[in-house]
Amino acid sequence: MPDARDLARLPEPELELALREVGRALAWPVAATAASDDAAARARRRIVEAGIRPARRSWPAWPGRRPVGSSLGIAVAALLVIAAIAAAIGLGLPGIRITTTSSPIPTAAPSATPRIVVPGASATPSPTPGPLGWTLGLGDPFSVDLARKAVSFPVRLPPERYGAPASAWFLDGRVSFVWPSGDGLLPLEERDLGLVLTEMEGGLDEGYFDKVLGPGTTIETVRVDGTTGYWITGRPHELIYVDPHGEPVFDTRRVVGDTLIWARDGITYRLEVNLGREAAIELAGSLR
Amino acid sequence: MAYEELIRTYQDVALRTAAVFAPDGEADDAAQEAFVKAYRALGRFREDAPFRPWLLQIVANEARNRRRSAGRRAGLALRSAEDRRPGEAAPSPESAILADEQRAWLHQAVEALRPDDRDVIAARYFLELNEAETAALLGVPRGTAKSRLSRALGRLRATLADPPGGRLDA
Repeated sequence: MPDARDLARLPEPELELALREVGRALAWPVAATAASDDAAARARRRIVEAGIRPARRSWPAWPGRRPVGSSLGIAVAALLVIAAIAAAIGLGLPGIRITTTSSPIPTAAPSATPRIVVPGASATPSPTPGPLGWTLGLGDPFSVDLARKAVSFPVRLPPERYGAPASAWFLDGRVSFVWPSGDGLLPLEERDLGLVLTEMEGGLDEGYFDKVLGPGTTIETVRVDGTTGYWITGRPHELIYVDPHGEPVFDTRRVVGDTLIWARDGITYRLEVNLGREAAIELAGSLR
Repeated sequence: MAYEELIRTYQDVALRTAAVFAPDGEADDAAQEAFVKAYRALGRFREDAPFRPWLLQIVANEARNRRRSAGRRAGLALRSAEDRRPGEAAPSPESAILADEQRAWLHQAVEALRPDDRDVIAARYFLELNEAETAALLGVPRGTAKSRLSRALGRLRATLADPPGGRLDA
């Protein structure tokens, strides 16, 4: 018979996982099914009816950021761009959509240059060096075993000849694994990295890609792992995931190399590797 | 209206945030009120900052204000097995690390903590926010959020080891 005292003795990572598990078992509220009656619509009606306008800087500034010539005009323009993206993906089919971006991909050292940022770019790298790949914003560092337990699907990894991942990461239901360069893995843009593999629940929305092909990025449909996938090369791109609850997750983490994306059995895989298209597809097909 | 589309993008996580901090039954109203307040405050949104934590901070403030004036604790119940949403399985046996009974104990122990401790644990683990978002939500520097979380986990362990009233009810 287990005892509450057993929980008190759980090692920290297991206790953290256990708390996440409690969170997932809570009776969370859900938005009204009819979009015309949800909190967003009701807020809009109140804003319109009361003629509410954004106030000019009457509240204290967002902490921890140096002012960068913010003006209401720029802020609203940024929001409109964000809203356009949000509207474009509003139907919320589970999956990944790709859009190109005019803004720099965030790096480990954020610049003070004004830019339009897509929301959700929340994975700020910690200031102290961490495990391999710590600058990529992949989430919290986990052991490989814990990362396997942290998701509700079976994780698949490359065959043994690539060795065990040097680090594992967890963020919002996504797990990522990072291998160093060497041992048949050519260096990625960050030269100490050889392979970055991310796995998450969700499918691919195949109808979307034609509409968002931007200059400088090539997206090619490929056959991979027994299914259809996409091979993306060229200019850094930005990914928008739609999680199983239909909520878009904007992933503006740094892209470090050519990317292969595919979905199998309800799991989406994203693999970054510098081996060329054919070898990447072969590696993808060998995940176990 | 673009703003409506924008906030609808974050509506689910905003509702969950409100539910963590608002008194029972007020999450939806708190979220709606926060959306209006956020619109009014758009002028202070920095275009170099991510939108989501900024919005969630406003939602959390609104919800906590309601909790304060209601003088009641907030807290979500655990779902019973029957009302899991379709397609949302219980954690599979290989990924679940808790028995149902342990899940109930752990939940109860978190809710028994004092509000500061309970809030930081709820933000980090129940809402599954990262460190930076947790700090933003609580309106404290990142280092403070980190040390507060570590102390809260310590007190959670103490509660589990020595539950108030001598026992936790499953």
